[in-house]
Amino acid sequence: MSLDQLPREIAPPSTLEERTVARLRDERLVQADAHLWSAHRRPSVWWQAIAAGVIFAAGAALGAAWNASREVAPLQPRFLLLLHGATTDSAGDEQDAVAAYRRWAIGLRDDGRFVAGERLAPEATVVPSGPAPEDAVEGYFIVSAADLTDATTIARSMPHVERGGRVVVRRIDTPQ
Amino acid sequence: MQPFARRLSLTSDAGFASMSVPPEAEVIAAAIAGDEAAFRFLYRQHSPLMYGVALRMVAQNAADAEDVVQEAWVRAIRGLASFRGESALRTWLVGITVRCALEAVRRRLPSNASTIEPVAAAARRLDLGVDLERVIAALADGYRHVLVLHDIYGYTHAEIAALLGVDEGTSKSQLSRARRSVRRALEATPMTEECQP
Repeated sequence: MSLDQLPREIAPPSTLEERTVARLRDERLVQADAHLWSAHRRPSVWWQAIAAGVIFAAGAALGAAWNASREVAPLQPRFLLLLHGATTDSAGDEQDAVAAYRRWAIGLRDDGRFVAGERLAPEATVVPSGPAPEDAVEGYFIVSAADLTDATTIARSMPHVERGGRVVVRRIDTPQ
Repeated sequence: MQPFARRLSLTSDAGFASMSVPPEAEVIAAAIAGDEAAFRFLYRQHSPLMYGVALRMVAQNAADAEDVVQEAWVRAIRGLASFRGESALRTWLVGITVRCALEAVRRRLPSNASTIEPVAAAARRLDLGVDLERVIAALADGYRHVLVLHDIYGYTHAEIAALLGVDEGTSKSQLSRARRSVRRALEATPMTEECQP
């Protein structure tokens, strides 16, 4: 095993999270009942901003949260990368491909640019009924990028492209 | 041609399988406001990387590494409002972790460890990755820090120089010496029975 094969991440002991939270509570840096955010409850930072703005206008104490949130860098645009067919020549190629995709996705995640990604099952239905498009989407990634050029650069770095696949890059249209 | 779904069996560590993450700016804003749930989300997302860095920087001392990660999070939450997004949050957090780890290493009593002998001793117990970690842990502090940041975490010499407060030339020479120490130690190590033909 060489140095670059060592895992970059190591799971800390499970007790560390509670000890860290306890210290943050002691120092009044977090509150268990703040309920300002909960995963998957608030789909967009814009909705949070609007809600926080209303609270602020009402003079509630939570206005501080809005002031604090304005210190955060603006959310980068997000882009959908639609993956269309790539070729695999052999079983060895397939293993290489899996490793290459894994490295790419981990690198993207480490850069803080990975938002989501899912593979699609081959089964599909078409509405209204008719033949499915031949060049079906096989998977997708959502990434954050500065602009379409930046997102295209990310797409070009995908092992999918090297393996003969195509990636369609679309900006996700969120309210400005 | 096989469908993408059959070829690509990425595991969750690649973040690919059915994972949806709320926008980071949203989580950061809530954490700044003191939302514990948001902090826990950030903690679970980034602590494995921070702990990996800390553990290697403090030469595999688990208690020190835990203290380092905890201190890094306290400083991060205090300073999160000043995070401008000029670098990735992970990069920012690792920077704080490295600084906390350096402080922890400086607080320790100085050891008499030389560079080569402890490395060689550790390498005699070679057992692939586990003992490669021991070999790295046995390096002198300066060598180990540069090796870990450059060869495991992919930092450039310029970034390492800024993080460790040394110049780039020092970073380069320490990396070279660290690699040589590790190589010599590994070459001096007899193959284990498992490795022999």
